This record gives sequence, C-alpha cells and structure tokens, in this order.
Amino acid sequence: MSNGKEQAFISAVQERSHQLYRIAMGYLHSAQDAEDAVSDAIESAWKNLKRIRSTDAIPAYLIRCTINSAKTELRKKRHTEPLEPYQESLVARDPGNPISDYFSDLRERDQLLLILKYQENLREEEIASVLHVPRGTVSSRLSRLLDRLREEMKKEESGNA
Amino acid sequence: MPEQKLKNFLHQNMPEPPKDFDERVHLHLARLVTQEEPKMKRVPGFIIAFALILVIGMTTALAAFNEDVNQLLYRIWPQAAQALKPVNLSCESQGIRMEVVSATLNGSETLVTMTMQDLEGDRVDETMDLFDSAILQLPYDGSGTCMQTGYDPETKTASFAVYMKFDMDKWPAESDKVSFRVSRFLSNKKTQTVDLTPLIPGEITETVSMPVPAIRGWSGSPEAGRREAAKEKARQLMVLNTDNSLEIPVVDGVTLTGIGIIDGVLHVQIRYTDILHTDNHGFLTLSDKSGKKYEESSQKQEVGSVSWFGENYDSWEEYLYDEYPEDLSQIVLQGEFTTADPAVEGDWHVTFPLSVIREETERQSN
Repeated sequence: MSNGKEQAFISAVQERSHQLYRIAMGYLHSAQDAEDAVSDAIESAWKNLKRIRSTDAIPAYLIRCTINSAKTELRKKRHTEPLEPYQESLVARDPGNPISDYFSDLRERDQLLLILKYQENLREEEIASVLHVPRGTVSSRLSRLLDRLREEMKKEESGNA
Repeated sequence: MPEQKLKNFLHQNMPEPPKDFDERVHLHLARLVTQEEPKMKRVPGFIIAFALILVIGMTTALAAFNEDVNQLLYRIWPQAAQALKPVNLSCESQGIRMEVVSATLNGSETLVTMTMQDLEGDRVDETMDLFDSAILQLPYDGSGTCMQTGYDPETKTASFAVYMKFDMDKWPAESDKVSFRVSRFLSNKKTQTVDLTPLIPGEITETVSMPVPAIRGWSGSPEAGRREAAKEKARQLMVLNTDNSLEIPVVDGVTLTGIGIIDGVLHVQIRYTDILHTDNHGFLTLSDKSGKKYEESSQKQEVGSVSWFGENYDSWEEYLYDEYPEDLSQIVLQGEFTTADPAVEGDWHVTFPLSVIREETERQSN
C-alpha cells in the first residue's frame, strides 16, 4: 500500500468524520450508535484500502461503508432498543415546516440523495459512486425531487394565500 | 428557491457530533494505523505508549525501532503526542498490575496511556475491554473513551489510551492531586458465527406459549404512525414458554432455549448469560437452503423481537419471523454471537499531583 494512499485515507477521515457522523445519525438517531457505526466504517475502509482504486475514491468509499455500518447497526440494535419512540426519517421532523413534511414523506434513498447533495455538498459523480448508480440517474432523480418540492411549495403558498 | 430552503432545513436539522468526537476518531485512527497497517511490523506490547514517549524525546534508544509509528502518530494526532508527560506509577490488585505510563492535561482535555499486566494468569489478552470503567478522577463532570493500543503475549500486558474531556467551571489548583482508576474489565471477548440449524431438535411445530414478562426492549418495523401501537403489541406478545426451555448450548454464554410456531409466526428464543457482567449479545439470520433471506420483522407483524431479564441478569431474547420457508425442513438459521468471560473486578488506582501532567503554558496563564 502506498504511503500516499495511507495519508489520503487519514486526511479523508479527518476531513469527513463529521459528515460520516451526520449520515450515520440519520439512520440510527443515537449519538453512541452513530459513533460506533462511523468507527466500524473507518475500520472496514482501512482494511480494504488496498482495493480502493485511487485516492479520489476514498471519500465516497468511506461514506458507503458508513451507510452499510449504520444499516447493520440498525439491525443489531433492534434487539436492545429501549422502550422509547424513534423517528423514521433521516432528518428529525420539524412540525409545521412544509420542507420537513416534504422531506419526511420521501423514500430513504431519496432522502439520502438530497442529504449528500445539499447538506454534504458532494458532486454528482461522488454521489453516483456512493449510491452505486450512474451519474445520469443521480441527475434525473435530483431534478425530479426538486420539481416535486417546487410543486409542494406552490401548493403551500396557494393554500396560505 | 427550493434548493436554498432545502439546504437551510438540512443545515438546521442535521445533528453535529459531540465535542470530543474528533479525539475519539484520532484514537481510533491511531489504533488502526499502528495495529492493522500490513506494511508495518506488529510490535509487541506498549506500542503506542513507547511510541508516544519516543515522540516527546524521553527515550532515544528505541528511536530507530519505530520510526514509522512515530511518523504516523504525528500525522494522526501530533498535539497529544507532543503533550504527554511521564507518570510511571503502578499498583496491583487481584494479581494484575496497572501502570500509568504517561498523561497530559491540556485545557479541559486529558489523555492517559496505561498498561495492565496479568502477573498470575491469562485474564489480560488482546481482546480486553475496560468496560467503561477507566476514569481520571477530577472534581468535574467528564466523559471519555478508551482504546486498547497494543498487546504483548510474552508479558501478558495490554496497553491503552484513555481520553477524557471535562466540563470545568474553574481551573484546578496547582496543589490538586488526580487519581486514575480502573474498576473492572472484560477479556476473552470473541465474536463467533454459528450455524444453529443442526441444533434444532426435531420438527418445528405449534408450541406452548406464555405472556411475555416485563420487556426491557423490543424491535420492529411498523409503518409511520404505528410506533406506539406496535410497542403495545410487543408488551402483549405471547412468547415461547420458558418452562419448556430447550437448554441447548450454542457457545459459552449463549443458549438456544426454544424454537416453535405461535399463531403462525416462527419464534426463536435465545438466552444470553449475565449480560451486565459479560456484555454478551448477538443476532440471527434466517434463510432457506437456496440462500433466500427472511427479515426478522416485517411490516405485517410489526414486532421483530422482544427481550426481557431473567435471573442473574440473563437476557432472554425472542426473535419473530412471520415470513419463513413454507417447508420448515428448508430452514437455515445462523447466529453471530459476541461473548466474553465474566468481568474481572478490582481496584486499580494511582494518584499523582496534577502539576506532573499539566501543560506549562496553562500554569503560567493561571
């Protein structure tokens, strides 16, 4: 493994750790579980560093590992989940906020897409790499989701008028 | 603009990590880079502690010994590596020696490197977990994290780095003393995947049930708005009768206690021994012989599992499948179980003046 790749990995983890945490929190809604998922993801990515084709691919690989770890953690967590309610959306609901209502009604994959684009500022090709879909699919999904949001906002405005 | 509104919503509602998250990431990276890096030799024992001491120039004899490690540590967390000060105090309890090798108090943050060595047996190993019991005692609220950084099988010594952050309302006095304490640890921790299929006795049939005892947890995938109803359903669930427990050992600390059908739903019951002193836990995967997987909880059933405490903090956990192979002889049931020996308890603590580990710059500024 080249030293450049190791350094790129360390830098990517240091630069992206908050991003990984936010993504894991979206699935797990528990700070401790999110940290565990991020730790597992970093470890998994480190062990597979040799297989990552280039240093540019490391950030997307880390995000993908985090999503996988969070989903695995979610599955394990089912057995010990305390008796308290949890939210189903990747972002906490903000009652009365039409954007929140729109977002919460989306499917998980679409919520993730919007988070990666508008919260984490990933480029479309990076998102495509994270989600394992062609770049064109990312563009068309984003376009469709924004169209739907525009419609929802128009409805909201006409309702308020 | 909808994009901007969406951005604002996400920025306002996505959670940020806790204050000491970065340090925990540093520790994790340090452990990975020093332990897992295939290019570097795995140096037995004291690896991080020695390396950190080297970094601050306490020892020069080992400089060539671990040049790579030093460089990596500097890259990962240079501030902490530079700030560590030697403590070298030890104590003994239950035939186990603890040594605080070095420590630093920098602002409201502390980093301690320490080792534990079993002088009598094999209770200290590479899987050792201080079970949230390692603490630097200062008169403030604090929280932290601990990570094993190395293990030397020759001397049965494990090394750790313990990071803590305190909410300080005032600076400690120059004359204050500080104690570092460990009260228990787990070892012989292992995760094993076990095929439970051959352990299933005879045919799976409709079976005797009982109301679930007071549950300590549950899982499920109810639709939005059905969460409370599903929780109530978990509380009212009928489970396999523990009086007819199968008592089939799976691995140390894990017992298959039942499998059967109640009202058309497949139930699998597992007992984890004394989870408060072992942290035993696990999860199951149900599939058929063609490899098709069946999720534990579907939208229809709403409750995927329930758990409750038995005697001596045994945890009974029952997994429910409302979809499973029609031909029950085709069932393949696998479990992934993490277990450990019962916690070793003792009183390991050393006390030293705060001035030994406090940053010079802070003393001057006070």
